[in-house]
This record gives sequence, structure tokens and C-alpha cells, in this order.
Amino acid sequence: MTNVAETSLNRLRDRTAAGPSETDGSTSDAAAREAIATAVHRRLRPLLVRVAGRPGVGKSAVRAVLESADLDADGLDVQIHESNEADNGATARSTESADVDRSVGDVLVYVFAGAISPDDSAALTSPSRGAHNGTVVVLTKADTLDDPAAAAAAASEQLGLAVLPVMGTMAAGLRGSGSSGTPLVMDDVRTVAAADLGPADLLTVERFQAADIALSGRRRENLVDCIELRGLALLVSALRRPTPVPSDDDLVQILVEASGLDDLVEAVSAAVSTAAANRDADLHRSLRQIAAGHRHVRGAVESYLASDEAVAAEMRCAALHLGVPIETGSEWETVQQAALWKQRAATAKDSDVRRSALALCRGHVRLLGR
Amino acid sequence: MIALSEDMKSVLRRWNSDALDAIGAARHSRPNGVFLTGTAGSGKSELRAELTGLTGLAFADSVAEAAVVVIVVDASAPIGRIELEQWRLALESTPTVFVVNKIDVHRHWRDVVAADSDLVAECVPRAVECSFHPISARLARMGRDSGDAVMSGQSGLEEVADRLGALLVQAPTLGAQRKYAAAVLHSAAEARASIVAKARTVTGGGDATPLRARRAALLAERQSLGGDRRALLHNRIQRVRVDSVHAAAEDLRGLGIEFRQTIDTARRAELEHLPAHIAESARDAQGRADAALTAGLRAVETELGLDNRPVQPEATDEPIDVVAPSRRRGIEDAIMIVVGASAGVGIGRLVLSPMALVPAWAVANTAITLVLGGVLAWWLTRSRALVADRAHLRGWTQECLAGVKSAVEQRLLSRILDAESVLAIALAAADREAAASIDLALAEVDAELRALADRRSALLSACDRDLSALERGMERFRGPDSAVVSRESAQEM
Repeated sequence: MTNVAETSLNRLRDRTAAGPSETDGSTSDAAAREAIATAVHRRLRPLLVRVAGRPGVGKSAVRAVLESADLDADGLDVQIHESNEADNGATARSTESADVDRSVGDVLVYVFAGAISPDDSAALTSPSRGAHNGTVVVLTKADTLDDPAAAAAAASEQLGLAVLPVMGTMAAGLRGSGSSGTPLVMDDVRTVAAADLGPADLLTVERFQAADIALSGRRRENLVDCIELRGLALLVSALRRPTPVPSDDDLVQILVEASGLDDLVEAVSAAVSTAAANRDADLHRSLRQIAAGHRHVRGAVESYLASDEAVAAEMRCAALHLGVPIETGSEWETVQQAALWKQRAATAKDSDVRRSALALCRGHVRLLGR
Repeated sequence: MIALSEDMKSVLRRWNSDALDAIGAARHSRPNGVFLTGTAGSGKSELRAELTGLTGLAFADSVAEAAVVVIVVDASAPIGRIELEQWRLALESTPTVFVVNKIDVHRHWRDVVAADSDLVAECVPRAVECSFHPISARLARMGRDSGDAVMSGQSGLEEVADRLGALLVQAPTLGAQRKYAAAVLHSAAEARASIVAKARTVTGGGDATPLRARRAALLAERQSLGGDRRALLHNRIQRVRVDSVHAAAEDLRGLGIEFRQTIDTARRAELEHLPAHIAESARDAQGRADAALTAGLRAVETELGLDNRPVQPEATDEPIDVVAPSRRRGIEDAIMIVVGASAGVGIGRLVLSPMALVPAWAVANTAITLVLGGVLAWWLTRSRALVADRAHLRGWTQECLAGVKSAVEQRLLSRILDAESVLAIALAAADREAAASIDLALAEVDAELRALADRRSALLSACDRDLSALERGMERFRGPDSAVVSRESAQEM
């Protein structure tokens, strides 16, 4: 779908570039073409997800998880950057890294561990945060907390934002993108479970290394790198249950559920797709402004805005704006939807709502025509 | 302990009134016990319980009373600068034990301890004594519960207890001195900050801004003085001229119409009184025109702000002389009598011609003819005379009104000329007065500005003096043996 959108955008760019203005070649035409090229470029540039947080808080693990996930960015490339948000307030870094740090992304993933510190609050309430389309706050290292859900709820109440508890290292390990890069070896886990471990042997890494298990130190290290002691303890207790013996997939599923991996990917994916839809809205707005100011490109812009891709994009933005899903089904249902939205547009007081309802009506009618 | 110099004391008293009390309190303090603080959720209460169980320490309620401060942080991530800032005072005044808790669950605690220690070294260079201890309160509790000595050893709590013991031993000798030095440094820093802030506001010149604005406004007013009002005077006088002349002409035209109608319907007796009435009305019209002009000129005066100034030349009450109509009866009147008599006799004879047929009435006939002729002649003469009088009076009225009009106009214009010159003079006088008062105000503002500049330079030099006094006083406290500034790190566990 996006390739189609990209193609039609490229067609728009070509049409305006090779328009009738070749003969007179006035400066305003050149400006309009350049403005359209810029707007299209802004639409097609990669989406930037900024993973921010205090240094040493576990941003890299979150970043690794996000990089391995398939984020729904409407076909745009997604770039994930890491920046030390909280610590750069007072000290001036070298200019280059400071520039990278402060470049505004489309989506902010803010990572913190333990309790919310004043540095975290300051970073999350700083004005630059408002420039992002979406913010996802992640409580990482949840494996070190006794009750991650309660800690996340407390932090969420303190910040006034939804907080996702995530076991970052474990999630990255499950994705095979942990710090050591080695995948989880289930046979080693079963060996650990089969060994005669005391309750205190999984308390610290040192104790685990010293425990009497038929497993080399290197392999034990890999296990800890991959799923942390918390994950290992979870698996061992699952394996030690009397019946039935869980399969490898069951075990992975236990870890995935505990790590909060799916929730994180889902939340970031939603934020990314909102950002992508907003890009479409921005593009259409600027195209309309350009077309209003420059007569020569008006035809090309209007034919693009009337294309199926542009109407579908408008419809997506409108659905996001109104917070409703796009319901497609039989032809009759589509007609019903179109009529419903037309009526809503007629009765809407707010001009934004009316515009969105009209876009939805138009989208449904276009769906009928296909 | 090093005493404060007198000039430093006075500087502190001036700039930071609470400073001397705080310094005195620190000097005479008897620091004792441990003050436990730290980040939220870092396990402070658990550590407190463990330390109490282990050594039976006494705990203090505030940094000021404590001999040692224990700061508990989480090993999940290094602390931030804003967090560290809240412990600056404790770090600078009291030996501090930085405890990095939860090393059992955080594998990378060594990095966190190193980062925390670097941050403290960077941000709080004047820390008294600060050591870092990675511990696990949970391991300590579990070791105690299970009687596992190895686990208790791994918890790192014993090192903390030892360190606290050592620090508490030296507290009675060094504690008060350190707190005193820290209080002096802190108060001096605060005083210095307020001196610098004051000097900055003074050099910023914020207090002179309204004066400068007033000076600029006065100058602008002085420059625009006069020109505007002179133009206004000219404009208004012209308008009064047009208005009053037009009003007078209208008034007299109305009078003319009224008189003509009166003449047309007046009887002989009324015609005799008419000239007097016309003269009266003309005088009234003149009075009205005078009054209107006076009101107009008053309005101009008010508008120009020349109130309470009797610049108005009073209307000299010289009446307009209206010459009574003179009429001389000439040959026309004689002809009218003769023609009237003959016509009367003719008409009499015509009326009585049927009676001539009766000879007996011949005598009576003649007598009646003569009488009738006489009466008719009298009536014709009188009527013709009335018509002639009316025509004469009409002409006279027109001439008279024209004369009155020109007299009124001449009078109005001359009054306006007089008023214009009087008003121009008054305006010039008022302008001179206003310029004088503006000059006076300008001089006052300039004087105030000069005084302000003097005060500012005096204030700045006072600030300079106080700053250098502070510096001199502080030099004693920065001596090598005044405060024990050392840093130990016990992180090689």
C-alpha cells in the first residue's frame, strides 16, 4: 500500500516538475515545485523514534527490542535513536552529540528504572517533549522489582502518563538481540531446573555461578545475559511443577508474558502509526496551501488529492482524529457507514469534526467505487 | 575553630540575616547519630532496620544534628544531577556514606557505583568525606534469617557498619568543626550570590527606566508645544467667523420676510409704529449675533485650554441707528386729491342720474351729488395714500435691513479680529508658561537621574567592598587543615 502511495507521490512530483511551466519558467513556478518536492520529502523521510532516559538506565535494551520489532509505520523507514535526556541539562556536551541528543523525533520512548527521579520528571515536563507526536513511558528493569505492575501504576499516577513495565534485558534476549547476542538455550534451562538448587542459589549472579549445576560457567553467563535471573527463576519454577511438562514454546510464552514485550511493541507501534498518519495530514495541508498560492501546480495537486491513496490517507487521519476504527464489510455496510458519516458531518458543530466526518464519508464512498 | 573576622560578620549580617544564627548553631552543635536519607523506593527503611539490628546505631532527625549522613540510592541506574543537588548541603557539611542498595538484583551495579562516584566528584567538589558502599539489604536480611554467614558477608552491610562506626568515633572531635566550616562556606556563598544579584540588578538600570521614559516624554511634549495650538486657534477662529456671519445673515433675512408680511397687512395706524418696531428688532438681531459670537469665542477658549481668562472683548453696546422714514408729500398728492374729487363727483352724478328725471328733486340732487363726490374723493385719496405709504415703507425696510446687516457684519468681524489677536497673545503666554514648567520638570528628572547614578555607583562600590571582605574572610577557611576533604571509595568489594 505504501509503495503505491510512494509511487503516486513520486508521480505528483514528476507531474509538477514537468508541468506546463517549462515554457515560461517563472520563479514562482520553481518555488512551487520546490515547495512540493520539500513537502513530499518531508512525508517520505524516515520516522524517528527517540529512546531517551538517564544514562545507565537500560535504553539500549529497549532500543534493541524496538529495532528487532516490526513497527507499523505505514511503510516508512523507522530510525531509532538513543539519547541521554535527563543528564544533559546542566552540562554542555560536545556540540555534535548534543545536536543528535536534541534532535526532535516523531515518537519519544522515555525509559526509567526504579522510582521516578526529579531528573525524569524534569525531562518529561520539558517543553521539547511537546514536539513529539507520541510519548511512551517505559519502566525498565522490571525484573528487579518485587511487584512491577504496582510500581508502574505508582509511577503512572505520579507522572500522569501511562507507564509500561518492561523487563528490557529479557525482552531483548528473547528477540535474540541481547547484549551477548546469543539465543536462549532451553536445554540449559532444563539442566538448571533438573539440578538440586537451594532457594538462595538464584538470588545473585555470584551465587548462581557458584551453585552446583552441571553447566559450564560460560553457559550460565549466557543464560543470565539472555533472560536474567528472574527469567531463569520463572522457567525453573514452571519446569518444576509436577504436571504437565511444558514445551519450549510454552516456556518462551511465559517469558514473553512476564517481560511486557508485546505491550511495549504494541504501544510504540501505535505511536509510530499515529505519527505516520499525522505526516499524511501535514502533507495534504501543505499541498493545499501550495496549490492555493500557485496556479500552475493546482491541477497536479488536486488530481493527487483526489487519488485513492490520498483519500484513504485522509480517511485514516480522520479516523485517528475522531478515535474511531474504520469499519469495512459488505457493500451495504459501507453504504451505511458513508450515510452515517455524512449525517454526522451535517450535524457537527466543530469544524474539525465536520472535516473528519466528511473525509470518512468520502473514504467509504471511494471504497464502494472500487 | 577559626573565628569569623568582624568585617565578614558585618557583611553576612547585612546580606544574609539568618547566616550568623546558622553559623553559631553549627559552631556549638554536638553532632551525633546517623541521618538516613535517599531516593524513593531504594530500600531506606529496610536498611535502617538492618543497621539497627546489626549495630544499634542512634539515628538523627536532620542533617544538622547528624554526625554521619547515609544516602541510600538504587543500583538500577546512576543518580541524576537534580537528585544529587538536594544532598549537596549534607555532602559539604557532614561525612557521608553513599550506599548503593539492591546489588543482588542489579548485575551491573559496579557501573552504577562508578557513575555515582564520578558524578559526586564532579558536582560536589567540596564534599567533606564521602565513601561508596555497594550493599544488598535483602541479602543481609535473608542471611540473618537463615543464619547464612556467607550471604551476610556478601551483603556488604558489615563494611557499612564498620565505616559508620569509624566515622562516629571521629565525630565528637571533627563534627562541629566541619559543620561550622560548611555553614560559613554556605552562608558566604549565599551572601555572595545575593551581592552579585543585587549588583546585577543595579547595573541593569531597571530603576532608572521610568525616569528615562518620563524625560523622553517631557522632551517630546516640549518640542510639540505651541505649533499645534496655534494651528487650532486659526482653524477655530475661521470657523467662528463663518458660522456667526452666516447666522446673522439668516436672522436678518427672516426679519425682512416678517416685516414685509406685516407691511402688506398693516393698517395706516400700524404703519406709523412700524419703523420703531423695526429698529427695535434690528437691535435685537444685533444682540443675538453678539451673544452667538461670544459663545463661539468662549468655546474656542475652552478648547484651547485658556479658561479663566477674560480675554473676550466685551460687546460695546452702541445701538444701531435706524433713521426714521421721511416722506414729503408732493404734487402727486395734490393731483390725487383733484382726480379723486372729480372722479367722486362723476360717480356721484352717475349714481344720481335717475333722480334728475324728477324736477322737484333738482336741488336735493345737486346737494347729494356734491356730498357723495366729496366722500368718494376723500376715500380714494386716503386709499391711494395708504398704498403709497406701504410701498415707501417696504423700500425703507429693505434699505434699513441692508444697513443693519452690514453694520452687524462689520461689528462681528472686527470683534473676531480683536479676539484672534487677544487669543494668540494668551496662547503664546500659556505656551511660555508650559515650556517653563516642562523645563522645571526636566531639571528635576535630570537631578533624580544624577542622584540615581550616584547612588548606583555608591551601591556598586559597597557591593565590591563587601565581596572583597567576604573573599578575605573566606581565605582563612580555605586553608589546608581547616576542613578534611578526602574521598574514599570502598567499591572494591
